[in-house]
Amino acid sequence: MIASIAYLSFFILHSSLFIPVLQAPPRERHLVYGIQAFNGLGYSSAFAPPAGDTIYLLAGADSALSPRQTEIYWWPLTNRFEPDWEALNQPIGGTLEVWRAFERLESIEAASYVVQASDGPGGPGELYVGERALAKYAEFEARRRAYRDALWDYYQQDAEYRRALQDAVARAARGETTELAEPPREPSPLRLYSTALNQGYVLNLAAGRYRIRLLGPDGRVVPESDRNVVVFSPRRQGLSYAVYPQTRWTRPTGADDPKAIVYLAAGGVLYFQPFVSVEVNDRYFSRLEDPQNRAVQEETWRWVRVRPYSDAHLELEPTGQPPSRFEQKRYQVQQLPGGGLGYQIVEQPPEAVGRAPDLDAFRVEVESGRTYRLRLLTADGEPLPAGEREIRPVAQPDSWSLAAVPAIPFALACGLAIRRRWS
Amino acid sequence: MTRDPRLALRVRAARAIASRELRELLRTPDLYVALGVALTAASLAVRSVLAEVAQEGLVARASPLYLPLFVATVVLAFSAATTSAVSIARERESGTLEVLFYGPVDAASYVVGKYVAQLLAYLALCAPLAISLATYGWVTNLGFSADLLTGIALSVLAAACTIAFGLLLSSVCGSIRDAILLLVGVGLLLLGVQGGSWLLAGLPQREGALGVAAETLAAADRVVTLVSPYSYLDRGLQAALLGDAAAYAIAFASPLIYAALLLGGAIWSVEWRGVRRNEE
Amino acid sequence: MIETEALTKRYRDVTAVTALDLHVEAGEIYGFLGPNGAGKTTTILMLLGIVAPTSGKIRMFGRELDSDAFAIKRKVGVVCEIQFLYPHMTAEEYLGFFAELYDVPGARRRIFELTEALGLQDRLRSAVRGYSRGMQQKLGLARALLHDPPLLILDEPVSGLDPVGTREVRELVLAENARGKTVFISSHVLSEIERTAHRVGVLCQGSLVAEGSLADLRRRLEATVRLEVELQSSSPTAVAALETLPFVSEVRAEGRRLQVRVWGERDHRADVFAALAGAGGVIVGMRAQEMSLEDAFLALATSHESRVAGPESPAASSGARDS
Repeated sequence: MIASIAYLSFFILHSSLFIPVLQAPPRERHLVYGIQAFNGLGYSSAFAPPAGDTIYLLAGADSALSPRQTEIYWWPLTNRFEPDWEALNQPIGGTLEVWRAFERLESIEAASYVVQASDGPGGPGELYVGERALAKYAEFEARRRAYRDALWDYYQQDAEYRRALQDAVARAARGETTELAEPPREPSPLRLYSTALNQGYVLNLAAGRYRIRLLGPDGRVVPESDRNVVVFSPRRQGLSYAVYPQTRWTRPTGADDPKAIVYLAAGGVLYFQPFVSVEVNDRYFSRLEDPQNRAVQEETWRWVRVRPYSDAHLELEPTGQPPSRFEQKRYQVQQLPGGGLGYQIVEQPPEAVGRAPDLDAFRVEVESGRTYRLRLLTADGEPLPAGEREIRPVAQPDSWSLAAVPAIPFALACGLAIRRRWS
Repeated sequence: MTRDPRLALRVRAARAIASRELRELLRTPDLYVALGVALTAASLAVRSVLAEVAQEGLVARASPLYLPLFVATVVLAFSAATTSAVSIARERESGTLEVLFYGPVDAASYVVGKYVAQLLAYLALCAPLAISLATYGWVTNLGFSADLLTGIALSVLAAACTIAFGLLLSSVCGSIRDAILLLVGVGLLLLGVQGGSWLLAGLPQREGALGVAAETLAAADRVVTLVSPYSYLDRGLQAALLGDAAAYAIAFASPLIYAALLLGGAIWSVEWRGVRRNEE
Repeated sequence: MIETEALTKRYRDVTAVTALDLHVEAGEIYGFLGPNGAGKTTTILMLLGIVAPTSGKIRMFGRELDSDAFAIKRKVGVVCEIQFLYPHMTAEEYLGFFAELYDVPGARRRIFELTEALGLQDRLRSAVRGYSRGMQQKLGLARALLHDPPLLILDEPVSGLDPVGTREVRELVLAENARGKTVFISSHVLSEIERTAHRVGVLCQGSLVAEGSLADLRRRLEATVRLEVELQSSSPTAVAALETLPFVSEVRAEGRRLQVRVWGERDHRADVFAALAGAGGVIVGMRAQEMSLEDAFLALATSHESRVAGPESPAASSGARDS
């Protein structure tokens, strides 16, 4: 009985704690900035509520800001403000002023813009503005329509083909022979991605700290439009590698830093995929991608891969032996039949050229216990300075050999303590 | 060029005090216990790197011994701060501080002498630290890069701050107990500000007490980052790892300025607090 | 050698030293007397720059202390009541450290000489934490003498020492003084001061209530001298005759013994002799009793305290002439 009461109390208490979460959060109408921020490779979409009063952008690249009235709410499960675009999504017109200290740098008028990525969202992208945006969006619409039409035709032809196939099967059962047409080919998927055509302000600023505000048609500052803008540059550029061990291709390791050494527990097959990368302020970049990100507080730096480095050779030089050269190839992963649920990585066959490979990398095989030096060479065979890495096997010494080192000062301390006591 | 005789006397006093203090530091077990603890922590960090390589099969790092080095230097710097924090308080408590001041010793020569001794003791530990890390690198094949040597050299600057910080705390205390309590209190306060700021940073900055608390803690955290000697330790080692010229310059200059300010504070504090024992 | 002018130290509500004017001449042993809490140590700490005066001036070696405390303190050797040694150091290391601090030339030889003179030679390489109080005191003295300073400031230097140790320290102080050193010695062991000091200053409740040579001090205190007279037989007429004398303040008869108190400006023994003889008294013996320094110190202290306490105090009138 007591246990039941205790359980009931616990349940009521817990329920009461969760009530605020389960209740519909209160919505408030605010001016927010929709952001298409260039991230080195493509564009990151984000929105900045009034609470995140600083917008972070990369220097020397077009990024778009789109001020809008919307309803926002605090969502405790994700610990962030969320917009309710369905309820309200009203663009705010006017002129965007950019200030640096006490000087007004420029006034920007609203323009149409669109972001498109040829390899789907998340891939390399372009920001088009004005007439070009209209044209590009129209082109995207046309391609989408064409794809939709081609897909419709394919489904029609496929249904017709299946009927013909069933018919041919039935005839074959009766001992008749039939000529069967080639099956229809599915149209290649539309990989082009485009945002909607939006109205906004395109900024391309040098590194520094700015302040922006929006002036309405009446010339007055639109409430809540005042924000800080931090524009930053990468600290340096380099070459990164994504290293895929054959045994766990889904979890590659990044050898991004030019001084990084690849430490191995044992030999085996490794796939190296090179990238052009930039080193950026981690806090700034995290907030470029998400202005509400508060996870990174310290001034640390991180490498961001900008684009794959292609048209290169890889040279692997085992210590004391002549180097070998490798070509970059496209690989795909095949599941192995049977109960083992294994996979194998094979070269992509020529007939699958239209399909995106799982890996586009250099395949190298390293032996256990041997150190290698790895270099990336240009098409002309010149080594790229930032593309050099070392592959080194790690020894697993006994525990005592690591413990022996601190034992020396401890022994010395004991000796001194004894001497001091008896002196 | 004629030397200022007063300066020469001060330098002589500081040198004599530093020499005595250093001899005492090198003869006490505390220093070697601190080194042993630092190397134990470093060996655990090395073991964690090895475990990661064994588990993942492959790890890419610019300097895998950076973590062991950082851990070891934090332990050593903390030990130096603790030793410094008790050093003036101990002398004040035992009365030896007053006896010193009967002679040609003033607050500046005394604090500088103490400071130099602590710094030299830290420097003396850098060699075994470097040798130990090189041994770890050799035994495990993780290697030992020049960055680590730069890191060790830069850690001296960070230690310069922690020692000055410890001396400042010590200069206001009349007993070892007070000094330890103050050091722990200040340490907890710094950790509290940083932890609290980090926790509240994830919350929306709304109106009300929580928003005010978040803003206050964030501001305090910025101040703590500016004044905490441990932040210079991290910055110095980061600069070594990144090989950034500007970061190097900042990592060199800022701890020196900071240590000078803290030492100035400690000198003023010894003059203000006096050299007599508590009960007198 | 040491001069203070209106030297005053106040701690919040308490005035430890009030308008102190000290004058210690070169080559003398100056005894600084006073009961516990009189302000002696505070004065010494001000002389050493450890405690900052609230007001007043300190001149040592003819120079303001503030003007060059570093150089002045190099010429001073100090021994305090407790030595506050570094317990893990040996005597050799301890003296070596101070020799380095004072830049003593030929430090090793000097340490050897001093420790030999003080009888510390056998324990030179032992940690001082094992030293007896007397040995620690001697080590402190060795430290103070290490750089051969022209001025020694000793604060209760024989406190806690056994009679042998006390004598050794006294002899050392006298020997150093004989070598030309000025000694400023603070103590409440009056017999010690009496045996060594040329001049004394008496501090009471922060004020210097008397300063001068021991003889001067006594003279000032001996406003009345007590004569003990022994007659062959008791004689009331002789007592009556003495009471008529203008310089006699009191006559007390105990049988044939008389206690005669006379004003002490000059020696009245001959006048007393003549008066008694004239009255028919036969004098068997006569002795003038001098006041000890202990009595003098107590008299001065009492006099000052009663003055501070005010005229209503019962003791107020008794010592009015002491100051």
